Amino acid sequence: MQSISFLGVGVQAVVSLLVGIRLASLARRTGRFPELALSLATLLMPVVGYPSALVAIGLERAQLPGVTPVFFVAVSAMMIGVSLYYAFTWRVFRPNAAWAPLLWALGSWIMLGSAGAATGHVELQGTIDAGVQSALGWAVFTVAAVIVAYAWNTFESFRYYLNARRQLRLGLVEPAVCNRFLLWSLSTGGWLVLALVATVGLVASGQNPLRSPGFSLAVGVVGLVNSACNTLCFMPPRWYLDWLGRPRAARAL
Amino acid sequence: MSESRAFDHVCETLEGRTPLNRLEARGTVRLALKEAGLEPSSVSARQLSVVVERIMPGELLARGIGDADAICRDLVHSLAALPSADGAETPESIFGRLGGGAKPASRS
Repeated sequence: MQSISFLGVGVQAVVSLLVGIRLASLARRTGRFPELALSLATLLMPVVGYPSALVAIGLERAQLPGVTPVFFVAVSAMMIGVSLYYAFTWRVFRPNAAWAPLLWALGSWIMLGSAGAATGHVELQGTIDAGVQSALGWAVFTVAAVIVAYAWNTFESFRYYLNARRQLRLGLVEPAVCNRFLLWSLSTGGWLVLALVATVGLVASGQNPLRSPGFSLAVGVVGLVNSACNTLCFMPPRWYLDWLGRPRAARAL
Repeated sequence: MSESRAFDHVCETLEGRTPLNRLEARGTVRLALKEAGLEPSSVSARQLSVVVERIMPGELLARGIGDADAICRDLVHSLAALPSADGAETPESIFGRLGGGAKPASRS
């Protein structure tokens, strides 16, 4: 079970690094916000955040110093990454909605504030588990804001996928773009499921979800699915684009 | 939420050239847009001209409007004269760019 978890996290870290660098290079050329936000989110979360959280747990198990600073780096990277997801959804799907920047600001404030509070509890209690248990309210608050971010992203991209399917029949959109909305909704949908599982675990047991073997397995599986979706979405191989261009594939979209 | 200029243009033309009142004209165009997977707030003149050409004649005939083809032909011409908003960022253009440069399909 643990090997699938490590495989998923490892593959995702490598794929995210490649996708993040590719999107950063695109952002440098275009100077546009969406690619910049996605590149930073992709680099911060799976490349910095999640591996740092595993390092923090490893340090604690080995009774080595530096658990709280590494935990802080992990949580900060993940929360800033999710905040960038909020910003991406706002700027791409709801650029003219007055409520969208408010939702981004509220979500970011809740995530960063409560993540900081949870880190303080970890420092005070001496261990990650004790800190999370002691700061259960803050932790649930944080994960709830993360769930809203992923749910919003998944909903908007899936809604655009459904609309793009109709546009496809009229030749108003490329099959690859239609498929990209689906891939992106699946990718963020995986994170949404993970955040929901983490919340159930937190509320039911009060434990750090990273300690649970079931959650670690879910992280691995979602990591692999996410990696496949992100590769096809942001670094599609030529054969995949050729396949999407065929009438039979377009009908299947 | 406010509608796009192209949407308003088509609705006003239908209101003027058919027996449809304002509410009916806007409802008809909204239904056609929904079938095409487009939204009144963001639809461009280029997209709307495709909808007018491919979907609108059927919608107008279903409402008992006889000269639907002529009205739609004129609408396509007048939409072509509207200022283009093709440079505007849309989710489709952004996702086209993020995946390596695919552009929204162009029919004309």
